[in-house]
Amino acid sequence: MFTLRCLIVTVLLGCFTLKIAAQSVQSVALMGTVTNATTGQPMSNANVFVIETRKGVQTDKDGFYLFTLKPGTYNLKISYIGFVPLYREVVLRQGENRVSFQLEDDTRLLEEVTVTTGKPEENVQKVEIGASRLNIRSIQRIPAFMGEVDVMRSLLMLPGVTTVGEGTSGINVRGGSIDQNLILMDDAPLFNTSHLFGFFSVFNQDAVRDVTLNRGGIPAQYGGRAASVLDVRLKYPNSEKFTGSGGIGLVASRLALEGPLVKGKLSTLLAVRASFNDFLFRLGPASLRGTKANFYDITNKWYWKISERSELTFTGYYSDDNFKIPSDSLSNVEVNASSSLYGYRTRSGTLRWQHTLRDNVTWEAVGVLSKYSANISVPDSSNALDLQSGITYANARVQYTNKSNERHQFLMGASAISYGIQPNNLVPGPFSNVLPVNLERENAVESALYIEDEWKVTDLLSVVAGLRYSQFLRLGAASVYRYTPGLPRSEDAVTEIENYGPGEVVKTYGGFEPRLAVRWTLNPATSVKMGYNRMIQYLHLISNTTSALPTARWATSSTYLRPQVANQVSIGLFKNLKNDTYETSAEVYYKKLKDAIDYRDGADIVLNPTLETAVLQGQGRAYGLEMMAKKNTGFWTGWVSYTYARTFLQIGGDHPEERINRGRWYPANYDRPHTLNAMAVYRPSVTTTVSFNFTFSSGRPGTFPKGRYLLYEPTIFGANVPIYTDRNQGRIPNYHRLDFSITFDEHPDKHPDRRWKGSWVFSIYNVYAHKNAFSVFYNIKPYSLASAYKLSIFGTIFPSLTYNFKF
Amino acid sequence: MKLWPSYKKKWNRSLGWGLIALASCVTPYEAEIHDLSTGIVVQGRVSNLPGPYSIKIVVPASNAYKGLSFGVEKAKVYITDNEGNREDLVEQKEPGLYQTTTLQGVTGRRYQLHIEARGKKYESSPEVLRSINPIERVYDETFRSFEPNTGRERQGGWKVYVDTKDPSEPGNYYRWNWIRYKLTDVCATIDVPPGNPAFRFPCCGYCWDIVRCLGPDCVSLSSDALINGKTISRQLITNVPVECLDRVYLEVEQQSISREAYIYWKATKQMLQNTGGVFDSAPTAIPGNIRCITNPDEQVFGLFEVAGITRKGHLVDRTQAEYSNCPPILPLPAGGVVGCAPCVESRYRTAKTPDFWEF
Repeated sequence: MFTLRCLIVTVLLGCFTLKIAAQSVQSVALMGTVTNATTGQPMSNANVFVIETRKGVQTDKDGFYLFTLKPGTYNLKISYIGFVPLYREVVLRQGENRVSFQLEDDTRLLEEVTVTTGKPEENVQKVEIGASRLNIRSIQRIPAFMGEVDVMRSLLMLPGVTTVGEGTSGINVRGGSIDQNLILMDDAPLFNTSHLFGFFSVFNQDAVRDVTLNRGGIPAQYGGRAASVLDVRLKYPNSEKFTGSGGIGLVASRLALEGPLVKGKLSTLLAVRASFNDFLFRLGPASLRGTKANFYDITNKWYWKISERSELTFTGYYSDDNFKIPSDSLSNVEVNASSSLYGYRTRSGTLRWQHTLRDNVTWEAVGVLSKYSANISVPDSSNALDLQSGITYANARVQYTNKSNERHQFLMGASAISYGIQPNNLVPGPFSNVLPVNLERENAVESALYIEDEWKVTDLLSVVAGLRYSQFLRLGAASVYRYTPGLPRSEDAVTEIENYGPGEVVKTYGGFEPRLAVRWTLNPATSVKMGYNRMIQYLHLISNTTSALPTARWATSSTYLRPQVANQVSIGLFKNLKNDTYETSAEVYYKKLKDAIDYRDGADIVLNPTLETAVLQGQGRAYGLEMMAKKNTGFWTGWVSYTYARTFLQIGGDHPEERINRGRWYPANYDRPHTLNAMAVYRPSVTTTVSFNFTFSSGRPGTFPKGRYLLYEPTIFGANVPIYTDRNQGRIPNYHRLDFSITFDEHPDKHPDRRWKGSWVFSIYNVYAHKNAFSVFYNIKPYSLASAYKLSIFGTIFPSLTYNFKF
Repeated sequence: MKLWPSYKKKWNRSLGWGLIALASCVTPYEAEIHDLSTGIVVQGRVSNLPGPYSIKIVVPASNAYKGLSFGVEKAKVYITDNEGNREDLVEQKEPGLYQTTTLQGVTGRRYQLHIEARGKKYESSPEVLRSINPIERVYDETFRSFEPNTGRERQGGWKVYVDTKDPSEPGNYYRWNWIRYKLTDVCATIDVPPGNPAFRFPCCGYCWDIVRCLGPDCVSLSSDALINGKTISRQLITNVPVECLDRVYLEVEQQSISREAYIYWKATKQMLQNTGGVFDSAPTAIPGNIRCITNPDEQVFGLFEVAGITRKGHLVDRTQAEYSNCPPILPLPAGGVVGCAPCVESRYRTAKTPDFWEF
């Protein structure tokens, strides 16, 4: 110590460095508040970011922030959405350092400039379990296939979410089939979430604000599906000024406009996306040159601020897909055709009124009308036909929310849904030989009452307890087929047809659906959560293809088709490390599914008036472990997740014909035991963002032949017929893929006065061009030496370039 | 009750590839090999046409390319009908093949197949021989296609269609076949060096090459579910390519089959055409109509088919084709004709004049 003091006196420079070295053992506190410069109100959730250490914190609800740092000089960036970011140099000395900041409104820059991807403390503090929220900014950073930012595909990066393969529609959440996800876009359910049969999802990135996937501890206000709730929330239109955004991509181009009609009162957002990809087919093989595939979607949202306390929003959505296949029919309809046209459309409207009685006490009323329709048509005059199907959905819901009590935050509500399903309506053309068929329309009502309370039992223990009672009525007019008792249900076993008049109740189902989530805080950065939920599903998608066609048949529960009931328990450990820089979580779940649905071998679903002969019901079980680690701040951000998940079904009917795999447990189509996802975003500067995305998963089950025989038929030569016995006993090869994307944004200070901001996104899907298997199939051809083949859907590298703009 | 059928046509396989057809690819895959420990495959047919009728009984092969299927020998095979007649089938030289000697199928009768083999008894469900209405019309239309090398459009060949009138009652199921006969003047060749035919020997009389449908797209099926009582029109039978400027003789066969046979053929067709595509139905067991009486758990594959059959001849006129793509005819040996070769009856060649042939 003496030497040290000696040096201080003698060598000034050396003295300075050593002084720091001597003091580096201790950290000092930097604290203060962030307030709104205009109103003087404290600002919660404002970001305070230390540029040197790449560390950031958010202010609490009193606008207070706290850092521990080593003494020295630091550059701070203080930011909040809609405010001009503040850059400040701060010199930290021993002891307490108090620095407060004031942020000024900025209507010019509404862009989120924070590096933080979410609210990291929610990982530990929120009571809900099994919920993931992605805002559109983080979805946009995931390298996209063909440059199309895809909400559904981004969910595949989350633990517990899988799919049967690339280019298919829908997701499988914790062992649920694709129809077990309630997908809501501003409260309107979507019955098909993909464009072009599954290549792209229907959500327009310019209109989406954020996406929440609930796969455990599902809130009581949601019901009607057995596996998960995906809540897609659209942006509120900018009520202060006109802005626009859009993009030009390889597949589709977009334009969104938003702004006030009456400033601060009435505003609207209109987002349009359309594909222009027909030219790609002209580059393809001759047989595809007549193919036409086009889609567009329109999202429109209105916001009307009636008063300080009440607001009204309207969301309208229209999506349209058309696909023409040349030369022959791909239809499921048995007529001869030279080409066929597929079309499907979603249209929906949501009206939502919210009234705040007093602080934290609100009433909400929502009305939804939605219609999904699909058709296949064949133009050939003698066989011309149009096969239509559709589902009409209407929902009215009211909800009362009271969050005024510190300890009890409480909500209750009621909802009524009406379903009208047109299974299949075959309309012949004017000169057609085809006979008209119109399957009976299905009418049903699903109503529910729900109540939920978030109870802060102690500072360490919180409980969200909910209860939902749902009732389902299948209504007439309906014809119910009666089958010979003791015989397998088949068209030949019909004994009589019982008719019900319009409005008459054909069948009633119902039940309580308890929901529970418990959080026990071990310390501010660690908590244990537990969840239980029961979900009853009355509406089912019946399909026997690997990926459901857009024309696949929806059916309500009926006399024979029982509702699917899922019971799930989950428990998890949530821990944040290094001052919320890292979020980690581990969850295990076990789910039992009653009356799980699978199709009968060789059964016809299209145009089948007795659907119950094509469908089998049994039980399912799913269990798994989901682990995730996430880094929120720094030059590098991202996450890694690993999932071990299994899903099995057992269909053991009374008759051998009504069993699958002789009544034994078998893995579901989407059973993929191991999944590893990694996503990394590197942001070295304001103008450049580099993202990597790696995914690995076990191959899905497949049905492989046990043998074969040569067809003995005098007119056919050399056809080998494979012999299949049990379903899903093999497994296709593992899946893995790396994607990359780089985004170049314009520097915000380069042309501060120019409104137009452009950015380029270059992405590569499947960087190392791995030929991932979609399926393995057996086909012995006389001229080939192989017996099995692997089909890869995206079997090569896909580069793409997109230009995005804002003004 | 009607059956509401649905099957997928071959284009189904392209759906889903659509947009990225260039990127999707199919590669051979080394798969696990299974061996079925039990089970036999029975295939054969009784019809209203003159016999002999054949029944083929084999043990299935493994699913490997090199898997072999063995005929079941020394089985006792007989067919009974609902009028108490019984005919024992005679084992042929070809292993696993059994043939009738006098049986003639009669429309309206029910036939049942019985097998005693390898210590077990098998029987089919009784199947009725259904009446068959004649083919209304066979016709062809030329079509255009792209030439793969140049990408230019040109005449691709002819599509042969059938129109047929469906009877008024529902529940009729159809299957169509074709066989092509080609008059040939090459009954033997002189190979120089061996394996490389250089000269031909003409046939000693009329001789026809028999061309059969090859590969997975040979099963054409229809039901009258959506057409009942009207005309099933534009049923595609086959494509005839552009070759020599000649007339192609086809025999088109229309079968009236049972619902079980229709389901069997539909599933078979799906299995043969399965390409693992996004919208392919998952592979399933093909249901048959034969069961093992002694061991009900034993799986029996195949089908005993009883069908009403009608045939019609058709000539596709290729003389006016836009171009010719005729394989060269081998020259006669130098020094003139030195003799002729007989037309040897086989699966591929016959000296018997086809039923509808006109000289």
